[in-house]
Formats: sequence, C-alpha cells, structure tokens
Amino acid sequence: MNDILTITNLSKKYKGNDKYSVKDLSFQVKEGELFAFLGPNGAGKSTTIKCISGALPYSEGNIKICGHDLHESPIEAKKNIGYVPDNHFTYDTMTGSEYVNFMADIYGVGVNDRKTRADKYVELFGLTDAIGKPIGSYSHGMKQKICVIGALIHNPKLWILDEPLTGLDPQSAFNLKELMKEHCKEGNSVLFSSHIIEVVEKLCDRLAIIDKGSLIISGSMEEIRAKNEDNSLEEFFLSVTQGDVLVGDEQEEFKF
Amino acid sequence: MTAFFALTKQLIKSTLKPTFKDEKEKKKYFGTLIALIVCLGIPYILMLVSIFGLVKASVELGYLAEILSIGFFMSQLLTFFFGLFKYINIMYFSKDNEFLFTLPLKSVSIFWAKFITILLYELIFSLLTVLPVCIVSIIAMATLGSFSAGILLMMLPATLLLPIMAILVIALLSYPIMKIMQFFKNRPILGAVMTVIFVAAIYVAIYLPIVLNTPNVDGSEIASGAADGSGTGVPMGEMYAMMLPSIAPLGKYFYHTYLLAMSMTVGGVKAFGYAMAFIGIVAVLAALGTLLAMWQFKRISQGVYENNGATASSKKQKEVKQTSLKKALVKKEFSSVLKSSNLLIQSGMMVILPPVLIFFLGTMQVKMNNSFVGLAIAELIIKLMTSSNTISILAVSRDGEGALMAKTMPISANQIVWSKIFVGFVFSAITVVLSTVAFAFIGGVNVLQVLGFFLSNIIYAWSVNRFCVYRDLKKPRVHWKNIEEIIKNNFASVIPMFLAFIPGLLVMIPTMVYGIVLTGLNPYAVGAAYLATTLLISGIYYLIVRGFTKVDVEELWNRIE
Repeated sequence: MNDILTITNLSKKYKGNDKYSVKDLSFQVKEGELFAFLGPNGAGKSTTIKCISGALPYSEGNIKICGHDLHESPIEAKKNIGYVPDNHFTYDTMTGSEYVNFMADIYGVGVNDRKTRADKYVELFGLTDAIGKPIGSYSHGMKQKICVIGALIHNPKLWILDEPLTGLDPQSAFNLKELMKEHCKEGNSVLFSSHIIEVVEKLCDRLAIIDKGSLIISGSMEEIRAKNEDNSLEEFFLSVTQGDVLVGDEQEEFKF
Repeated sequence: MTAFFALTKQLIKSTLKPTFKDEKEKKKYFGTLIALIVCLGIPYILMLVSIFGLVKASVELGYLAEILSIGFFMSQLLTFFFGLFKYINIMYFSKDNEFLFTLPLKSVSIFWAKFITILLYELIFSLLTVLPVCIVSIIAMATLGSFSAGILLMMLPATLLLPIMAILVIALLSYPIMKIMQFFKNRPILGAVMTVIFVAAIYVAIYLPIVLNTPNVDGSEIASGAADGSGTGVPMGEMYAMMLPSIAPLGKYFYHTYLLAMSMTVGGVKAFGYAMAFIGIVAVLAALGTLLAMWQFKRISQGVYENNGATASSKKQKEVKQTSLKKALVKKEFSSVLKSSNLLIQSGMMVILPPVLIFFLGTMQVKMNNSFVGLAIAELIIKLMTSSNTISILAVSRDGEGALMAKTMPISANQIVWSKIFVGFVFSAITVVLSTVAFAFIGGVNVLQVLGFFLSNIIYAWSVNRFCVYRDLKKPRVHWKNIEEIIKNNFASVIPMFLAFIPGLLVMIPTMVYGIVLTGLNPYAVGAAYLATTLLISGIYYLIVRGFTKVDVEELWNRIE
C-alpha cells in the first residue's frame, strides 16, 4: 500500500515559546487506512494536525501528502486533503448550501459531482431542512456536520478530522464513524485525533499515541495488543501518558 | 467559478452583507437604516449645498484647485482613519485565516481577495464623499461658465484612486504596526502602548507640516479678505470670501491631491501632465504597498493565530488578597480589556488621537485667528471619539459565554453593569483630561473655556459610556470563539458615533457663532457663554441617557442567552 501521508521528524515550536509543542514526530498513514491520533489534552495532537493541514507553519521536518511536499508544492498537497477543524470554522453569513458550493468551487468540483455528494451527505446528516438557512443559526453539532460535508465534497484522498465526535448526537456520531470507514474502503485514508480510547479502539486500523509533543508509540491495534497483552488499551494509554515520555531505545521498542 | 473568484465573492459577501436570524430582525434592520438615511440625508444635502457655495466662491476667487485638494485630502484622511483597523482586522485578525490557509489556494490569492474586499468597503465611502463633491463642483463651475473637461474626465479615477491610495498607505504602515504587536505579544499592554504611539506619530507626521505651513493671519487680513470677496453679495459668500484666503493656500501643501485637483481645473496639456503625475504616485505606492503586504501576509497572519495556540509562560504567583465585590468586578473588567491587544489598541487610539487632533487642528485655527473654530472642532472631535469607545460598546458581548456563567453567580446585575460603565468611563476620562491639556496648550483660550470643555465632556463621557453599555446589554452577542472576531464585526459602534454628531453639532455651532457674533465682548463673558452652553448640552444629554436607560437591568441581564 502507498503512503498517503508521510511525516518525518516534524518539530513545531510556537513563537515566543521555548518548549517544543511537537518534537521529532514521524509516522505514516497508508492508502485505505483509518489512522487515529491519540493523546491527552495538550499532547500536541491539534498542533500536528494543523501543521499537516497547512494552517500552521513548521520549520523542522517534512510532511508529504500523496507524494507532494507541503512546503514545496502546498497547493498540490492541499488538493488531496479534506480538513474538519476542531473549531468547525464556517462563514456564518452563508447558508449551508452556499458553504458547500463555496468549498466545491475552491476544490474545482464539477456541478454533477458536487450535487450527488452534497445530496448524499445532507440526507445522511439530516440537514435537509437546514441547508438553506444561514450557518449562523446552526447548533454546534450542525456546524460540525456542514464542515464534514464541505471537507468531503471533493472526495479527498486524505480526510483529516480534529476531535470529530465532540458535540455530535449519537446518531450523527454513528453516521460519521460509518462514513469514515466507508471513505477508507473506497481506497482513501482517514486521520483523526481523539482522546476517547473506546472510539479509537473500535474504529481505527492503526494508531499513534503522543504525549508532551513526542511520539510514544505507533502501530496497528493488533501490534499494540500483542505488546501489551495484560492490559486494556485504556490501561496501557494511562500508563504511558502519566509517566515520563519514552526516549531513545525505550521509544524504539514501541515502534512497529 | 475559479477558486479565487469564489473566495473574493464570499469575502465581499461576508463583510458587506448583513445577516438576519428572522424576518423581524430584517425589518428592524432596514427600519433603522431608513431612519438613519433620513436623519443623515438632510445634513448631507445641506453639506452639499454649502460645498456648492464654497466651490462657487473658490472659482470666483481662483482657489478651486486648492479647495478641491483640501477636500480630497480630508476624504483620504477619513478613509485612513476608519480603514486602518478595518484593514488590520480583515487582513490579519480574521478568524477565517486559519481556515483559508488549509485550502488549496496561494496565499497571494487570499491576500488579493481580502484586499479587494477592503477596497470595495472603502470605495462605498468614497462614493459618498469624493464623487458628490466632484459633481457639485462640475455644476458650480458650469453655472459660472468656467467649466473644465478635466474634472469630468478625472471624476471617476479620483473616486477610485483616492481610497486606493489611502489603503495602500495603510498596507505599508500595517507591517510595522503588526511587527510591533507581535514583538510585544507577551506584554500586550506595552505592545498596545507602542502601537498607539506609532499610530499617533503617523498623525503627528501628517499634521505637523500642515500646521507649520499654516499662514499666520490677523484680524485685518480677514477684514481685507472679506472686502475682496464681497462680490458674491450674499452673507454665505462673504463668509467664504473671508475664510478662503487664509484656508485655501493649505491645499497646495497636500501635494498629491493638489496634483489631482490641478488636473481637474487647469485644462489642456498641463491637465494631462498633472493627471499622469498623480497616477504615477498611486502606481509607485501600489507597487510598494502591495509587494510588502503580500510578502508578509502569510507570515504575519499565521503569527497572529499561532499566538492563540501557544501556552503562556508561567508568571510568578502574586499573593492572594480578599477584596470587595465592587473592586473584584472592576478588576475583572480592567483585566479583560488589558488582555486583548486589539481592544487595548482601539481604546488606546480613542485616548491618544483626540488630544493629538485637537492640538494640531486647534493650533491651525489659532494661527488663522479662529480660536473659536478650534474650540468648536475640539468639541466635535472629543464627542465623536468618546462615543466610539469599544470597551463600552462591547461591554457585555466581550464577556462571551462568560456572561452566561456570571448569570449563575449570586451577584446583582446592577453591580456588573456599573463596573462596566466605570471601566469604559475611566478610558474616556483619560481622553478628556489629555484633550483638555492639549486644548489649554494651543493658546487663544481662557480659563472658563478650558473649564467648560473639561466639565461638560466629563459629564458627556459618563453619559455616553452608560448609553453604550445599556445598548449592548439589550442585545449582546455572547457566542463567539475569538474575541478579535467580535471586535472586528463591531458595526454597532457606528450608531453611537453618528448620534454623537447631535450633541457635537449642538455645541459646535453656537461656539462658532459666539466667535463671530460676540467679538466686541469681554473674552471672559464669551467664555462664560460657551461654558453655559456646553454644560447645558451635556446636562441635557445626561438626562436623556438616564431616561432611556431607566430599565430593569436584572431582567435584561436574565434575558441574555
């Protein structure tokens, strides 16, 4: 399988801060893979995702999306991603359908494709009645849903979601999880961040755990279970994130 | 639709198009708009009529180019004044930047989409100022039979290029402003103070040459000017004839607008040369301004929202002391203002610009033997500026969802509201004190005028802050994620500022009349007349505000959702 996303030695330090928010991070997301990014609050998940999506600049390391280096050919790299941010930004003055069409225009999606996809997702998320209304009048969950539709309108090779299940009702959360699986089955990939271990355990093919900006472990669920037979993923997660970050050989031991 | 076009269309729409939750809100909006158009339309027409007279007198006395130059420069100054923070907010502080940089768009495309949006916004302003002045000038020239084709040809380029020029200057200056803000980002108060000083220095740089070039005029010169211009035969014409010889020469010192004005008035090949020189200046500015702004756009914008993600460095813990509820609320209000650089800068501007403007404009008027005009201008400036106090205009909105939390606390809403008015008033009071000092320094005024100016504006400052806080309390916008957004979209600030024209003009007009009519009286008697007038207007304003704000604060507070 080809690598859809390759991150090599990514480090990110916010301006004015002495400490690294992300330090020497490396992992890959392969074609057709549902990849979870797990970590406690403030671990560096959102910072990493913002670097991948192009929202934040980074000075050290490389990010390649579908073979395109994000620094060297940002437009080509970004054409392959669909990003759902944690703050689900949208323009409040737009109606839902205007926003979807705006995103389709930005990604150059043809009229027929955008209509087919928009109709499918609008119905799936139960937004049929709200799609013609201004986004400013939407609830938190509805804004999240319209962001998801906007991110999927160009059928991206890599779908990135930052804490996607926060604020969604059970039905919508279920639909979103199914959609993530379906997206991967079609040969695309999904990268999402979460701190909800149960979701990660049930949903993903592979995962990476980060804490204090550094990678603690990455691998498939089976590989992690094999390394950690005595404990559940939750116990394992708590044991590795409450202690010090593993360094050097200790970290190597957990890389698969 | 191309990505760039789609983005530009969207940005224009989200900046200029109002949104309504329901039909009721839409009707209310258009009702207010129509009322505003009617209220402002009358003084606007009167202004055009007086411009017609001024242009006519200028043509007769041979000062048309100078007067047009002054008018164009003032229009640019207004564009600069209102556009500076609009530009910075849309370009750098906008919440959508973080989203736009994730899209497959070049940062240059995002820059241009935003630049075009800002230009269109300012162009609307220019269409209301430059274009009507040109049309009125054409009519005035035609009636006197001294019509020049240049004004017809250059009318539209002037309407378009004058705001563009102002925005380009802003684009150039926004770079050092943002650099200062980012350099001091961990010390917002120092950063805001430095930014305010920088912008005040720009204003000083604009006004200083003008003041230095203002001719000293004594009474006899004005009298002879009146005699020269008495040919107009009407009182207004005589007044213009009196004023023009002392004011008009200033127009020559606004070199760029003078070139434009000359291209409109001289005719022939020379007009073409002047037009090309003006367009050349715009082209050079365009190259410099856009290149610098484009080059730095992505880096500065990302720097702004990067700061939000950075964990603040830990500060030394201060010793905790128990304090009274009143003090705790005031402290919280001050803290919320001092921690937002944008809010702090806007408030800082409100504090520093009136004394700067009053000092320079007042000095100019004193040099031209018009100290009462200086006083009248000072009154209008301070009323307009204290009425645009963002701290009070967003008193409740800036709390965000924290206002909902405050509802759960066992505190009286009256206490919260009082603390908000008090903090807004403190900033306005500093403005009044500094403006009074500046006003006292310009000379040509006596102690009664200084006292009247200070006391009446302190009363006005308290009243206008109370008015703004209650306005926001009635309909706060508490659901936001980024305080910069709520500051950026603060269109509500326009209304108190427009309303400030009423007390401003009510003091300004009699003050100017005293200067013209009561010339034979003792200066202290004239000062007393001014003191009584200004205190009366501020007192009435205070009573009206009190009447309008006699509402159940607890109920309004409980309605916030």
